[in-house]
Amino acid sequence: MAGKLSPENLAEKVEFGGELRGYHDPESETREYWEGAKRNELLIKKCQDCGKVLHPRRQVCGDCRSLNLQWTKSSGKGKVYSFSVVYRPPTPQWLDKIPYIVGIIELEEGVYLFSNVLCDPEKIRTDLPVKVVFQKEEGGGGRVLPRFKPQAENY
Amino acid sequence: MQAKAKQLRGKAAIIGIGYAYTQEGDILKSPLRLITEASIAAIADAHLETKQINGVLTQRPPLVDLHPQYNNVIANELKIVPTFSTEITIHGAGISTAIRLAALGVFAGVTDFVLCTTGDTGNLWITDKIRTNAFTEADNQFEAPYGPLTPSLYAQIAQRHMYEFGTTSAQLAKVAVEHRKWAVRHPYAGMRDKGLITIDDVLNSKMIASPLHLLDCAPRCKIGTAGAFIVASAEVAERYTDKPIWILGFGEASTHEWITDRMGLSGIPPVEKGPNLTASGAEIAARDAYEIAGVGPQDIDLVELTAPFTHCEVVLMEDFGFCKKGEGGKFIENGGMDFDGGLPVNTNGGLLSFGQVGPGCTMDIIIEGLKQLRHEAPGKQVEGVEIALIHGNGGIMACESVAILSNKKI
Repeated sequence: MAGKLSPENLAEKVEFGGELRGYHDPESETREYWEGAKRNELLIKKCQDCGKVLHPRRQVCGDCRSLNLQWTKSSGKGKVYSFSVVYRPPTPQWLDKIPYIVGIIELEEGVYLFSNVLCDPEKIRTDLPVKVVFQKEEGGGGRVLPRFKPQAENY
Repeated sequence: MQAKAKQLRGKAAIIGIGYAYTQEGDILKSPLRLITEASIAAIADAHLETKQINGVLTQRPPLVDLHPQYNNVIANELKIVPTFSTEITIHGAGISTAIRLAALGVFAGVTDFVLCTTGDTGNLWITDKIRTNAFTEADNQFEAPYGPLTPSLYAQIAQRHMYEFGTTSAQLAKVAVEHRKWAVRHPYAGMRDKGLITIDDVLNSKMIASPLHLLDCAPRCKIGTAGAFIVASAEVAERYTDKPIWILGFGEASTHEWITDRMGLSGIPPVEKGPNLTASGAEIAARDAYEIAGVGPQDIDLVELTAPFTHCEVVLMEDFGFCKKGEGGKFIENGGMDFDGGLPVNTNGGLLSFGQVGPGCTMDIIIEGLKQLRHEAPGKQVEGVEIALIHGNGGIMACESVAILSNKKI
């Protein structure tokens, strides 16, 4: 099934010049990440040989070159490593979302993920403690996306 | 890099250049047409016949003509039979690193005359549609779903630089201010008719993706550009031109494809101590280039660098060794790249004020550097220029290449 384009594993195809949805055909190496998101689990990878925790995209351990990577659950907690508040939407779909925040989140486990931070743009800051929430992506496809919001209630 | 690389110093030269532009209001020309015009001009400038060219180097295809193996498309059009031919696919750093690859080819004797060329057209329908989305810059699975505008990906670096080193928006703005001073004097700069700007103008321009304001970003100017240069071995260079530009040194380093993945890299230069966003491969590229050339930052008279945003230049001036890591903002604030009295940087206005048509923008930077060295600057000529640092950037500060060129046989 890996890499096969079929209705089952093709969520939504991006058209060149069209809406940016991301070409979503999870290779077998990352399908479980998206299945986990549907179960509200944030999954990252762990090298079974040297213990290094890795970005879900990884196919090989950068340190020891092992292919023996297994999925592991992240606590979903971390902090904002870097961020940018977007004021100009990349595509029309994002028009009603501006301003919104994109950033790199440093998970407790030492893995860095890109996502949105669901936070008042006036209050976003580096090192803000955040935790994962799962949201169904708007528009077709049924994909569930991990996003992050401040750990503090009412932040 | 091994010590034996130093034997490459000055073993190749650029013996001909060509360029072609279309401006708003001109009849539209395709990138291939512009590349063709630039290439035949370069071949003529080098006093060569087409059949003498046996090397063809380009970078990834123009955004508006995404045909693979574009090197072959070019050779096909010009009726060249290259025996040394490739696209160099490190994004927009491909054409700057072509300087090195061409030099290696002629030094080794596997090719005699290498045509290096690329171009792009800024206003065809595809660029209009994709210019603000991150189709070619974002990880389609792990970044694109979150709506990253390309500036917002680069902005991750800017925000960290401010957080770690206290770099300010005003310092970033000064980069744009100084570059505009070169652009208003340059006949092909996209912003030449927009007049000078102040730091306040930059800070008051609308925020695109924090901390980057509109004037912190390179505009997608509605022009087409292409450039070409011919590389030959040092032994024959002076038979073909009386303005050879000697290739003294070069270097290259790539750290990631997608910006988030950059944070999965550590323990290797330039991120020996741990993952970060504030050092780039330019540090290694420049170090190797200086070592081969046998010069240091203090010897550089002119810098032409590829930076689509102001903060990239802060990082690059640090990585080129003009100041310490973290002090780039202060360096600029204190006049380090001032039009009046500072190190000349981006004498065509850079991407910020010349405009960026696509990844081919790096060629605009190279051509400006070559014209300056040949005392043919279309805008303000840097007097007494002898040694120039030329730089190409690719991806989200992912791939960097540096070349050191001189008009003196030193």
